Amino acid sequence: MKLEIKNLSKTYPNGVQALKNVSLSVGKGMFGLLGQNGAGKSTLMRTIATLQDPDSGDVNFNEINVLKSPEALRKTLGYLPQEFGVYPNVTAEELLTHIADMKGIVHKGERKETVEALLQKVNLYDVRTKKLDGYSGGMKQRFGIAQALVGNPELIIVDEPTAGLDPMERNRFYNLLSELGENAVVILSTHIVEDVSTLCSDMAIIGNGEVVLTGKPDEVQEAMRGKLYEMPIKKDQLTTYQEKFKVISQRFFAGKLMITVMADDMPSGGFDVKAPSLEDAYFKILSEN
Amino acid sequence: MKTIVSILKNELKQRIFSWVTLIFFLMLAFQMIWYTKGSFDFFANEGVLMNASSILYRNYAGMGMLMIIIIAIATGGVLYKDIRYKSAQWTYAMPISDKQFFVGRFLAAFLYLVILSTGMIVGHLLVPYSGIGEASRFGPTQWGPLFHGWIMFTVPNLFFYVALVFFSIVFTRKIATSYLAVFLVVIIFLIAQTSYETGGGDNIIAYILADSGGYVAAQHYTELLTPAQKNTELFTLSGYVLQNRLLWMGLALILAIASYVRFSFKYFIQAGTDKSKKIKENKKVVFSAASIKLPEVVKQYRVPNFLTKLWSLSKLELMNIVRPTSFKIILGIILLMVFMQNVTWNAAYYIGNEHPISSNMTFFRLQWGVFVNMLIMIWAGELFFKDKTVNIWQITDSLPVPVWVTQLSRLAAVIGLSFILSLSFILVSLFTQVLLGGASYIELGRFTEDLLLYRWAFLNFVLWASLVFFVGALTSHRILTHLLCVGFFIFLVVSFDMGIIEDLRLGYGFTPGIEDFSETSGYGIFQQSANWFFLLWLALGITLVMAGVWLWKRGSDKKWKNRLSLRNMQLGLVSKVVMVAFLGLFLFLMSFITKNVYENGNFVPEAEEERLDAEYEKKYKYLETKPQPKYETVALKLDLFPLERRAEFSADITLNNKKGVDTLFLNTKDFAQLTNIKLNGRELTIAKADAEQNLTAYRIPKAIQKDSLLQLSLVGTKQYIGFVQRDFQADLTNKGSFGSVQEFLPVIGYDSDKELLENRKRQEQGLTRLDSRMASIDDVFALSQNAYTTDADRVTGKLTISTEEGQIPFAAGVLQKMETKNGRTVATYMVDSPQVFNWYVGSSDYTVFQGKADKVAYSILYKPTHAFNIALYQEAIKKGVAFMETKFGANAVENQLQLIEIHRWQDDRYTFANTIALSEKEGWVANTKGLQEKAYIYQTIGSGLAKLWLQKKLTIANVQGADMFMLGLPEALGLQFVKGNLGEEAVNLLIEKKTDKYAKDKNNEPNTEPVLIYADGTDYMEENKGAIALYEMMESIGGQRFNTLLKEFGNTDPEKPKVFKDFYQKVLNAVPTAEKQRFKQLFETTDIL
Repeated sequence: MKLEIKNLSKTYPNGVQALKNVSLSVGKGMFGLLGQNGAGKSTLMRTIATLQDPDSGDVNFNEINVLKSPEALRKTLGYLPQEFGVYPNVTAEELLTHIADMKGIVHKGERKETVEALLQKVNLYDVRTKKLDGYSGGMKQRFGIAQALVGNPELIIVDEPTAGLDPMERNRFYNLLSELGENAVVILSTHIVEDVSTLCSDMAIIGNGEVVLTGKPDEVQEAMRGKLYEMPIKKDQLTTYQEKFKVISQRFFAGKLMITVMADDMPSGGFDVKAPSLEDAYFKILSEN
Repeated sequence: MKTIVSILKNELKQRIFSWVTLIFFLMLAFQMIWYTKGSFDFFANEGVLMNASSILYRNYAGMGMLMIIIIAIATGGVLYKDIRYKSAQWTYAMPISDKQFFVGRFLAAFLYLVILSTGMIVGHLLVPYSGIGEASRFGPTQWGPLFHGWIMFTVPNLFFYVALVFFSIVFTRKIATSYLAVFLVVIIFLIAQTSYETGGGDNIIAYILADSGGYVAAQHYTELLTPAQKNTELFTLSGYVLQNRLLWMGLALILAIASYVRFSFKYFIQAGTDKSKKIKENKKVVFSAASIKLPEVVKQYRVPNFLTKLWSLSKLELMNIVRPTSFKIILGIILLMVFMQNVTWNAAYYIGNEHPISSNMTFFRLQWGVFVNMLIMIWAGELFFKDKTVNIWQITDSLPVPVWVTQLSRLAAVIGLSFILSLSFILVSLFTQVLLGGASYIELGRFTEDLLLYRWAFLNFVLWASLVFFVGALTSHRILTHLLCVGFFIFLVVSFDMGIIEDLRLGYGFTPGIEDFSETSGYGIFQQSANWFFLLWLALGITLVMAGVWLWKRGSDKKWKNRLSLRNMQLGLVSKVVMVAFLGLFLFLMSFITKNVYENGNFVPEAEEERLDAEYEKKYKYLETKPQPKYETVALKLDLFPLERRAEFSADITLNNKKGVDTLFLNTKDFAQLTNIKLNGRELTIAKADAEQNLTAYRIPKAIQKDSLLQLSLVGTKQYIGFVQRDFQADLTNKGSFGSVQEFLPVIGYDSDKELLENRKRQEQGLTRLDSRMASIDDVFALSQNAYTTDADRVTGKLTISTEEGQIPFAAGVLQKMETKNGRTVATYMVDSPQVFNWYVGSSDYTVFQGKADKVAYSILYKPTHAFNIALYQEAIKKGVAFMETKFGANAVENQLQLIEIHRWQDDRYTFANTIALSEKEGWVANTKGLQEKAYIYQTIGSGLAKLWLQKKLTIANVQGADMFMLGLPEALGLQFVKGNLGEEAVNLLIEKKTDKYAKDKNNEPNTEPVLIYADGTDYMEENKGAIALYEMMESIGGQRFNTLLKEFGNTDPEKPKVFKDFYQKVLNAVPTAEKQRFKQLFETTDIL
């Protein structure tokens, strides 16, 4: 099971170059695609999901040439877009059954079983007969993952699934997503580093339409061990520190500005050694790009 | 106040200085130029200018569909944008008063539209420079009406619409309801307007008040103006116009105030967030301990699976449309209005109330069909873009289902919806019919044909939904699809209605003769035409649907190159071939229709007809005074084959050749051919043949040029070929043929019927202006001519007419015998005593009722199901015959009279040798319980008998005033007859109707209205004003005295053609001196009654 993306490029009519020669190889399991808003993640996701034509390049999933035979890919695709709506006047059960029908599950009994299992899985079984326009954001998102899983897809694309969710919903979602990679190629597109570090075995970072890094999250993280230092400073000192050190990120902690600096040796001036996180690697990449 | 001013400034600044506003402004200006052309064509009178004030007022009141669309899309957003763009949370939290905010936004929306609407003023100012008319068609700019009309109609209308839109949004907190509200108001306006034009009469006030824009009121106002007033009149705010304005401005104020009171930030911010729907989860499980395995499933993607899906999806989509309460409410409103229309509808335009027969129960579709079609188009557009609207498209578009399954299921749902609506129309019409006592007249076939086929019914809806499907695929934009489709539809409807477009090949979904149904002969030849046209559009419709599937944009940012590629498999290869085949079929049908309708000469555009007529006059006017032989006796054998639309005829004709002419000029009608022509047994040589004008000149051999009588033998055929677009070719139509004998026999000499009589058209064609449409009373040549026909004085003859078995033929004269042999029914008629040569023949599947009125045997030939008023007709005939005998001592019909029902869309009445032929609409299906309808029946019979008497007793000169003898006088005698039998009240009802008709129609006089004594053949004057004036004279001097004077006048030098003015003088002399001046004013001026 393998998704191969080769030299994919896309420029929108307004001149924005969303993808620049993107190439990726994604195997079974959860693959995190990390990038800022506007980095080109959704363009890439939509292209893989057969919803958009690239200007050039190729996408292959197993034996399927996605661009030439989109209908073949759709048979084995589960897609949760970044933003989606629902028909307001139908229930979760009705819409899921409808999608199951559309996904080719022709036997009524199997459809029913699948829908029930999915609703149980995403914890929506109790509200299955309620109209979808009454669902909260988190419920809708869970419904979204349920629909993506209908028909046991081999390629699952989830685009920014945790954006806008409260911490509890996000946890609930992680629980759901954690099982996805067992039997399928899963691409999780997100701008939240925690999503990738929590769930993914492989990852790539995309910035300005280009793949700037690929690897395993722990390897990426470990590569920075012993090179990161942090210290609280006053806000007005930031420029001075930026001129003096390689500041890769800054954040507030207990009302003070904490800066993270990358250096081969401990810098002078009261820095502490910092244990590396994926976020640090991400920020490092961003600061370099 | 500061807040209001600030909001106003900000909103107007944002909106006014934009490209969209500029485009709207220019489009409105253009629309006014276009509407001006259409309105101008409605005013036939030569004196009406293109920039007449009446046109300005009507344009301002109607505003045009573009303005309505702008209102719908631009107004609601002014209030709703904070909700739509989610900026309400901070906007509404600002330190401003919510009421001031509301007023500011209301005024901003209103002022924006007012400013935009000045484009209409600019358009009117540009009309003279737009090239739509010659410089002579324009007068000085009407500065008063230019602004007055805008202030009187447009500005208040805009206020009403803004109030309506704000009211809808505030009270429902949904912007969609504002679109619906505007749409409903427009529908009501259009129904009121078309009902006013077609239904007329009794419900005027209802139609005027139902129209929110005041267009119907303005239309009614202008109809009562003289041409000069039409050009310059500054409307007064009174009467119907005032009532209309008060009603709708009052309503607008109520809506605005109610919205103002209801609006508050706290209330309105809840728009789009219905908390009552929010679902609370009971279990907040974060992690589930056990992993739930999904079952293994079998997935199939074969065509039979997709077909099953298509079916189940179609059902699902249909249920999704019809299930919501909003649909039930809309359906309920539509059905209620259809019900009301059927209850209140009557053919008041002609006689009055009619029985609730099935064909009367389906008329509503002509107005409603158009509006329901628009509604369905919008529904269809919404459904096709449903996934985009609710933003689920990324999920659905990535599902493994072909486009044809998902999108065709939606089209199928729209088709299902159209069917449900059409079926509901049938059910509500049946209910109405039963309620009105018409249970026994129910014809399910009529309902099926009219409401389930393609005369603004079910199949039209399907065709237009198909277009929406295609345009949706092409544009991938919901609003643009709506605008393009509804805009194109309205453009076609208005263009055909105004006559800007005539050729139905340009009218997608349009079929010929949609309203030309006659109980007598159905849709006649229009049936065949409509079938072919429908097939044409069906082929195109299927092509559009298939192309729609092919091009439908699945996903986003799909390249045109890829969408148009043959490798785009949204439409399979075989289907692509089928699509091309349907496109080929469409082109083939187009060429087939072109050949049958247009190349065969069944349709000539109006401009071309006018050109031909003008050319005829230019080329052959000299023949008018050139002596020609005249018909004296006619022995005609005419075999009708109505099913084949063919006739074969032969005739032996005696021509009176007093002047000794050398050339015989014969005009034949289109499709008629003389295959053999002999004069005194000799073949004639052709001196000149003008095929375009159907005129042939034959050289008369010298040897017989001086013979006073010539024997002309003719053999000929008439065969209509192909089918039609506009004319129903009624002289040869199955079960309803009716035509003049001169549809077959030629007109000799100059055919003055071909002359253009409207001065505007004459000038356009380079002809001289007519001072009068008839020759002056001093014209010596015209004085010697018979007013009925210029090629015959009085004629005797024998008419042998045969038709297909199952039909009864009839002709002018006295029936001698009728028999059926060799599968044909043959009737022989004799015209023994000389009659004017205005004879007609016909054939239909009549029931014949025979009776006797004193010495006169009468036959009533009527459609078998139209026996409603046979007893009343008999009663009127008996009393009419007695009346004529009592008053004039004799009946022109001698011993036999025929009363015949003819096709609905013929002229109202024909009277010729022993025969009165009345159109189906003239009383055959009337409900004659009321005095007005009963009086009308009496009037038609009384005036018909009087006409027959006058045709026989009076020789009428072909000069001004002739129509007062031919039409005005018999109508007046008819009134006398009604008074004697039904009393004063009945006459007053008829006079009231005639007065109204005259007042309404006189202002559409294309030339200059003549005075009665110089009447020159207008439709509206002699029968109405003329009849009333003569009736009043009768009343003044006494009916008997009047009749005596008439008899004396006729008996004086009976062969000499009479002039109406002489008769008028004779009667005027008998009028008491005190009343003379009044009658002089009536007859010698154009003062209104």
